[in-house]
Amino acid sequence: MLRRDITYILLFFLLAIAFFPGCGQKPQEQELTSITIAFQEWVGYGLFYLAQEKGFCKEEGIEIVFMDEQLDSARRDAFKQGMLDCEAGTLDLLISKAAQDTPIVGVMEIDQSFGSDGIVAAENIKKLDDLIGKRVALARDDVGETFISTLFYKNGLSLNNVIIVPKLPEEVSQAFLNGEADACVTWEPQLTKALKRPGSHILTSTKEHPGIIIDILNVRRDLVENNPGLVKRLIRGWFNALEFYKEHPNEASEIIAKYYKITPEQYRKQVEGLLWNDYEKQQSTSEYKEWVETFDVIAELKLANGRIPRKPDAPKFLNHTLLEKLYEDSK
Amino acid sequence: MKIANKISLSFLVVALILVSTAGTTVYIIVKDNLQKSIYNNLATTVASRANHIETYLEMLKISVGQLSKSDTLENFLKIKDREDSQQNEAFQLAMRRFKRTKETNSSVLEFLLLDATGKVVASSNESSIGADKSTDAYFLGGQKEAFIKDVYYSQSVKEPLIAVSAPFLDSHTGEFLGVLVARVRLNELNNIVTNRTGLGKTGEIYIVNKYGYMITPSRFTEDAVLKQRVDTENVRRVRLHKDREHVLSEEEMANVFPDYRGQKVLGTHEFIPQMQWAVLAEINAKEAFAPLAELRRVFSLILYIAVNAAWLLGISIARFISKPLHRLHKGTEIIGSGNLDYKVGTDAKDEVGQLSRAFDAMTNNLKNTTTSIKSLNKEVVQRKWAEMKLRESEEKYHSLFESSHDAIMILTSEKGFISGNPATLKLFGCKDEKEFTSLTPADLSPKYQPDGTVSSIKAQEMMKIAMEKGSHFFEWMYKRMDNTEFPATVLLTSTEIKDEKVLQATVRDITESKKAEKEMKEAVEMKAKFVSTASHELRTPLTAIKESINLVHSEMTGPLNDNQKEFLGIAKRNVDRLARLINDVLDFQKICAGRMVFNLQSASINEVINMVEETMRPLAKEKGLDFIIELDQAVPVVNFDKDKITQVLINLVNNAIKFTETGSIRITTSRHEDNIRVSIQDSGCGIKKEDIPRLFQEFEQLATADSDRKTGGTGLGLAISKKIIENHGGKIWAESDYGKGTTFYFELPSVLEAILCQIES
Repeated sequence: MLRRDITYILLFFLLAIAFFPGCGQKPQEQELTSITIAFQEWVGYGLFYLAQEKGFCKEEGIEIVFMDEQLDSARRDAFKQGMLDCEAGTLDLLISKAAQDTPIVGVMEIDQSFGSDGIVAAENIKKLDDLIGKRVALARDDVGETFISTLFYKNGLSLNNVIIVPKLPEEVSQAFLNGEADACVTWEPQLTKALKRPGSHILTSTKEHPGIIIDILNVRRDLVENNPGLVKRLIRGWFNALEFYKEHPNEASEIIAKYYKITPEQYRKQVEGLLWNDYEKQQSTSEYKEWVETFDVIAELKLANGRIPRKPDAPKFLNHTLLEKLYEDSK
Repeated sequence: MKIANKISLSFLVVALILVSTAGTTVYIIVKDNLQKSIYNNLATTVASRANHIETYLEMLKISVGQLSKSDTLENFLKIKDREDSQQNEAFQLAMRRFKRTKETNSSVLEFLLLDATGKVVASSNESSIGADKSTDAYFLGGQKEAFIKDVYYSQSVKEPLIAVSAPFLDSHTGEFLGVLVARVRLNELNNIVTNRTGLGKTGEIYIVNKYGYMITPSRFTEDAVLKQRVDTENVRRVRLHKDREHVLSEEEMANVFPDYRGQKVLGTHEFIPQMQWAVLAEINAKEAFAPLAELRRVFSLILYIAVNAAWLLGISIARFISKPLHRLHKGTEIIGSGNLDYKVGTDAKDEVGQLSRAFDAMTNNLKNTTTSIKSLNKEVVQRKWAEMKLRESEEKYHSLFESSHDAIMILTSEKGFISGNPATLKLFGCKDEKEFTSLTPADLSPKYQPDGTVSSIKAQEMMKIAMEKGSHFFEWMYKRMDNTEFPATVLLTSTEIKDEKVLQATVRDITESKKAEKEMKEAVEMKAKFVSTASHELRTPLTAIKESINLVHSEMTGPLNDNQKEFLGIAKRNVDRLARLINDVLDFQKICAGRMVFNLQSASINEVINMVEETMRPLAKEKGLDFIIELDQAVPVVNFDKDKITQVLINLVNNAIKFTETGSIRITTSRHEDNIRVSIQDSGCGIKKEDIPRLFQEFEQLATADSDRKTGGTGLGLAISKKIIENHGGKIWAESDYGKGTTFYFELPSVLEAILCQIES
């Protein structure tokens, strides 16, 4: 009898609790650490979207906040003001920012251009030397300039041997199509666009000269120094995404392609022009040496071209330690 | 659980459910409406501010754009590389234009005019001229169209600024000549967002840039611009929703979350796409939902009151319902214990009332049924008992009937003999019962009875009397089959056998007893005659002897010597004794034969006693005994035979003196009810208790404590006394304490005469 009474009383209290307004509470979700990343529109960075959507970042306890910031100078300013956590950008832009005391450090290679960057030339220009005295459309102090400078440098030429037609990056191919220039230095998808000019052809590209255009993950220096674990988690998310892409290219490209407003097939086609080096390769010290060498070459050229006031010190702006010890600690 | 508790608990639960459901529903609706209202207010405010900001930014772009079409500035850009007076004049004009324009817009810190390479060629701040801004965002961004560089911290002026730039194109050829830049202070922007109209006491609006940093001052945190990161739900929602094309719902736009300080706020946002700014409006949740909290308190109060009221109502109703049920229950227990007279019915017209009345009706039926059953059971038991008794009786009767030495026969006045037992057959000399039952009572009687009546008529008369009285005992003269007659007593008893009224005749042959009676009668008469005759005949010579002895002893016939006198004395005493004996015997015989005549007359018992005293005192004195007379003078005068009672008294006193050696003789009279009582008490030897019943038997002389039969009595005195007293309608008895004395009592009734008359009759 007592038990039945207790049951009634319990029922009463349960009802009271259940019906009393505002008693329900949602379970708390796991708190993620957000990390902002800014980059220009480049298919090589698509794995960040994949890492985010497939939960590889979430697994690492982070959430990537993508910043639409096309201007490198704006990203530089954001880094300087401590507002931006990291960016994906080419090595030459890292050098430019490094030369302007931007507090960033390159910690990982994202990709290497492998045909995605190149020089599209008019029909009559068959080899690099044919460019001498010709008008070349490019974005100043940008990847195109770095690529052609490096090629010229390797072939004993300099930018002074050509007439530079300075353009905004997205206008370069159009300038070539308009006939404002005899050649243009650009990257996909503008590279393909430029080829629409009758008789045009790819004079040369990163496929023949890999290792010049390298995309780097640049992270704000204080983050690397004070919170290397957070950076490692981002890097691990990246490599997880890379692994997934290699195993499930179709599914992965379907996820990524929508960010570029292209089809998965188009995406897969475009990424054929780049190389995603896996963790095994990147963690090797030889790889790091290549980065440093390339950094130094490009920095020399930029200094020579007057694009930077001084040559930055490569080891100061390239950190290989995080990669080497990527899995030594957990989250 | 009791039904009352169940009802009250049910009321409570139902009330709780209803009130909670209704309360929750109303609360949710009100809350939603209130939230919507708050959201709408907040959303309206933030939308208004966002519009204002966009307008402001647009105005900045327009202003800079208009300035970028300035002929003065264009002219200067075209000839800036010349080193002549015209160039100098154009420069001065451009500078004045900048200064003039700046004066009209106080928020502009400075104007910069950059050539196509990004070099500052003119400025409202002359110190800026010559600086390379080729990599600056406002140069790169402003080459094609009006551009606003996001808020940045200017190292030169140590304050946050925004920069608005616009391309400078040749008005004729469209050639890119450079970029016009206006570096603008944030005061106007701050004024727009920090206006707290519509934000209550705790609300604020601030702008977060695309990196999530505050670019307008915080109301609560100092020096927050470009330093305070805002990574809140509100900002995440901006990021999440900024690319969506559909209109965001209110819930998506506004929510409650911790703000950058960790305070719980209600917030919403607006997104400014061109700058990727989030305009955030937040208000402390406590303040925002203060009406809701009040509402919750009211609802809680209502819930509390309603539940308690329901509880009380439930208890009242439960009591109202359970009280008659309880009464019913109590009633059932009382009735269950056997009290079927208890009533549980009420006048209530509800179902319980109906039930209680139905219960009473049922109880009544049950009672009737029970009573009937009890009666039935009783009747059954009684019948069975009666049957058993009847059977036993029949068996006994049959056994008696069969084994009786008396002749028993069953007959009716109509059918004659129905049956007869073996003794009957034997008595009348019948061969068997068949022969007996074929006879009529007249066949077994002589024609006339001894009194001369006709047997058949008298037989009918006897049977009639028996039928009327139930039984009748009489003597009858019978006749056997061999025609010999014999007297018999007949007990005719009326009875029923199988609903038929019959007579049972028990006939006993009294031939022998008649004979014995006759012989005894003859013997008694002979004895009485003999005694009478003998006594009479003895008395006459005895009288002569007595008189003769008296004469001789009195020496009337001559002197006697001592021996002669002594012997004559002995002879005289024995003659007297013999005379008394003869008189006693005669008296006793008379009394027994009913021939003693009692001469009743009104007399005083006290006087009789006084006379007896006179007679007996000398004798007592002779023995040294006290003779005490205690008479109740109030005893009435009654009718009695003085001589007979005197005889009784003398007999009793004489006995007392005779058996008392020392002490006293006490005679008392008293009245007891309607009787007068006389007691004669002595202090003699007493009588053994077991001898007292034999005291009044004739010829009984009890041995005394001192010696045997030394008193010399006849043994008839007390027997005669008893007969005399009884013939007066009184009674006589004795009480004795053996060794201490004896008291004799007798009582005479005051209504003696009537009794004696009856006796005599």
